[in-house]
Amino acid sequence: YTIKFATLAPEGSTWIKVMTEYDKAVRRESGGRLGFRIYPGGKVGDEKDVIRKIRLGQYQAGGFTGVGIGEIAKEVRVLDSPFLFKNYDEVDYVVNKFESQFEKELEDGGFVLLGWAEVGFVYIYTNRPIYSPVDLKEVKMWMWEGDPIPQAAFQAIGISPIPLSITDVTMALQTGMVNGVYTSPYALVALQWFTRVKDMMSEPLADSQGAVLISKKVFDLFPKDLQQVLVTNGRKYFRQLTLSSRQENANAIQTLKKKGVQITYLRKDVAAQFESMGEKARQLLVGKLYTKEFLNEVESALRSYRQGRGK
Amino acid sequence: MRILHAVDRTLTAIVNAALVLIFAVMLTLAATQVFLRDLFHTGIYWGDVAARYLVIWVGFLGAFLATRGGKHFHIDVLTRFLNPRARLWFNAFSDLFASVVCLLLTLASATFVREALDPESTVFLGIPETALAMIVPVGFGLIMAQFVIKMIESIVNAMRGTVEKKAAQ
Amino acid sequence: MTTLLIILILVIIALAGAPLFAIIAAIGLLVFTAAGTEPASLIAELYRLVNFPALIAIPLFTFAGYLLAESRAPKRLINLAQALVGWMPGGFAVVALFSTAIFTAFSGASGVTIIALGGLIFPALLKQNYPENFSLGLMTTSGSLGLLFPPSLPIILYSIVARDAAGNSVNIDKLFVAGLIPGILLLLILSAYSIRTGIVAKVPRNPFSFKAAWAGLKEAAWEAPLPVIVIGGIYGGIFTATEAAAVTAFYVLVVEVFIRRDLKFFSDLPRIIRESMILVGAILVMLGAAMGVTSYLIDAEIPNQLFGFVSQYVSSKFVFLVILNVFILVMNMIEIFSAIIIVVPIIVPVALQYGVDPIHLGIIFLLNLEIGYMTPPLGLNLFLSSLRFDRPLTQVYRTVLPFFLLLVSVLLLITYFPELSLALTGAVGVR
Ligand code: NA
Ligand code: NA
Repeated sequence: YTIKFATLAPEGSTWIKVMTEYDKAVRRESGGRLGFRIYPGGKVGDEKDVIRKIRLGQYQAGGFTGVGIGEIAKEVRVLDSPFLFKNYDEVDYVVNKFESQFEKELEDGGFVLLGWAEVGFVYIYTNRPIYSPVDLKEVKMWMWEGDPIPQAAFQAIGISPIPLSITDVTMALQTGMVNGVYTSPYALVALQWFTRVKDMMSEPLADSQGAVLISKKVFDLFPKDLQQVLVTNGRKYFRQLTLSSRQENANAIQTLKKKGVQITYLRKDVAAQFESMGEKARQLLVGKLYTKEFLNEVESALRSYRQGRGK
Repeated sequence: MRILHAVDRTLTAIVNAALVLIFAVMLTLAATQVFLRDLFHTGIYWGDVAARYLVIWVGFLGAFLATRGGKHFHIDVLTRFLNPRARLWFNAFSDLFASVVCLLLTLASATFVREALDPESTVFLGIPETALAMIVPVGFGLIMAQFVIKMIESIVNAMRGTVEKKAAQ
Repeated sequence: MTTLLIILILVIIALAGAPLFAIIAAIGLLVFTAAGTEPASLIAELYRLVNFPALIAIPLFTFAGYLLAESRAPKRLINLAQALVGWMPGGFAVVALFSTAIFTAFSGASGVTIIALGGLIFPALLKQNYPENFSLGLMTTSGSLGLLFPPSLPIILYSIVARDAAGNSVNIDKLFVAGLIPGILLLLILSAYSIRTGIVAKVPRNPFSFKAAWAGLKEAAWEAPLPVIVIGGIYGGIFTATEAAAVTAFYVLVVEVFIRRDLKFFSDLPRIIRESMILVGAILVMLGAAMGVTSYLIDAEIPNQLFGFVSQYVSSKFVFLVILNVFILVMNMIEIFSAIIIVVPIIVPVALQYGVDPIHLGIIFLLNLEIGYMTPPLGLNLFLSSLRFDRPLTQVYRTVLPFFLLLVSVLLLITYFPELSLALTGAVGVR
């Protein structure tokens, strides 16, 4: 079998390198019976396009971020919700604890999880230091058009962002139409947006989760041993990928500092203010993405995890 | 023939009205968005997405009207030199070909809406994506109907030899 | 063998006058079915149009162009230009060049220029004693001038189609900026030729009058700022091309319907919306069908094979571009929008492998379109001109020759010196 696999990640990126290694491992362990054909760099279209083409059988698998995952299983986007996590240990804990539930939601959406491929923490970058939510009101904040999560977050903070498609952001930053953006540090550097911002808020806005998924219809056709090869290696390699992206993001923050981007560390009480705004934002997403019960479950699991670690 | 014309006229009138209305909404939305963005530093968060869906709607309705008026891009370097009657036969043949293609496109679009889109997915203001995408099969279906009507007209005219009257128009 | 037979049949059907979108869609349905893919995948490609940020610019600019064409704005603009530069030798010919260029940029180069402005300009040229052959050639050429200036529809289309093949680097704002120097160069060279003709033919000049200039300015006070707003707004980085489209459509609507009242809200507006959206619809269905075929071509790596084939014979980038020019010129005589939609996705990846910048390629392509319009024997402008001015086609063929040679020399310059197209894209705020 050849699995046609599409992703937005560009050729030559770590993402594609890991994917290629994964493909090699799968070919080796399946004795050449199974392999991928990789379509990088958004050749096939954006994430929603890829999902439609997978549903039609033209492609079979893809790497997705929240945009695509939300199209398949909205509940999983709880992982992307505003001000939920403070560090990657918390992310790993919640992802592991609720994994079977997420897997079930994804399968109901017609996809099988091969592995999590996290994008990483997303921060807010602005042209002025942000010491409190009030400072954010002075910022012309960009928002990725049509994404409910930042919409809820900014609504809770009390600012009205400027919705633009991501391809227009570079231009909008240059013209001053927007002077605040959010993305992962790695992407901020890669997209060259960092030349137009001065400050970075220390508190992450959200974590951005990603997943590598294969059509369930196709997956079910494979014999059990091949399924095993796919999933076992998928978990292994994409966990590696997640760890490398975390490293890349940490490196990118160092690059940003070198390039003169200031990091504003929030006072304890201000951080708490943002946190309660996050809570409010997550409530705003109830019914849109997930049920109230599920959110409560995730939040309380996180609370007891924090207490257990003495935080 | 007369029934055919009545159907055609009614359909065209409805499409005309819908086209003008949707265009007005689209223009208003796009202009409002610019004013909000550049003057008030805010925006309707689904505005651009909605405007693009409306472009598709306007496009299909426009394509429907293009069919009637023979305004689809085509090569007429050869047919230009034919006599009017022969041209009618050529038109009938082209319309037959286009009808068949549009029929296949209608079926393909119906499959697309049914299988590739998530029936629970909404795009803006809670409108399901399947409803917005419905213009694709409906549009191709309407265009097909228009080609069929044109084809019948051409054949009838060619056989009746009412060519002179047509050509004089 | 079967493939050749099918291609032959489709070509015959196309020549019989079948709509091109149906031909392209038929090809798409055939290749998808042959590859064992669900035909609905073709629709999935068409549906990708809803993701293209620049999509909204197509209907809005088209609408604005149609509105302007139907209003009395062209007459007011010509009067103004005449009052401003009529005193120069060859002044009115230069006026004709600049006003048709602006008009074409706004009307989308669908041949409307010759129909709409020809009746105003051509008799005036003859009356002022410009030689008939020169005037006829000028009018035929002017039908497609201005293609390189924003907000020309072919530029928008190129950016959408090439974006798919070359990735996001083909940004519409960049293309708009890139077209500026080549577009002005073209106008200047044609102006020089017009001035020379004006001197040789001893065309009488009108003395400059402040009064006339002021009157012209006052009369066109609402329309004259439009090119400044749109072109300046984009070059100055005040708004994006998509925003410029919304601003233009809204502004023109308010000026021509409510302020100037050239057009009536209830009787004219719905008709103009309908007519402009017919063009948009025709473009969109063809674009949608072509996207399906393109995705197959890219999936099957046809451009790579094409490059492999071509690179065996042609190693120099410049020679490749010259050959490309000839090829595009022939293609363009058929139909401009179809040429962009069908040809661009195939040649962009090939050109990229030769190290050609996709923006530079876009300018070359668009200038080619401009020339294709007036290339005998099939260029659209030749027919329109012959029809509009009631002159035999053979005479039109003869009269465009000097203009054709000028345009081709500019094309070679633009091809050989990419800096002409690319210099500004780096310098101005747009990257
Ligand atoms: Na914009
Ligand atoms: Na494609």
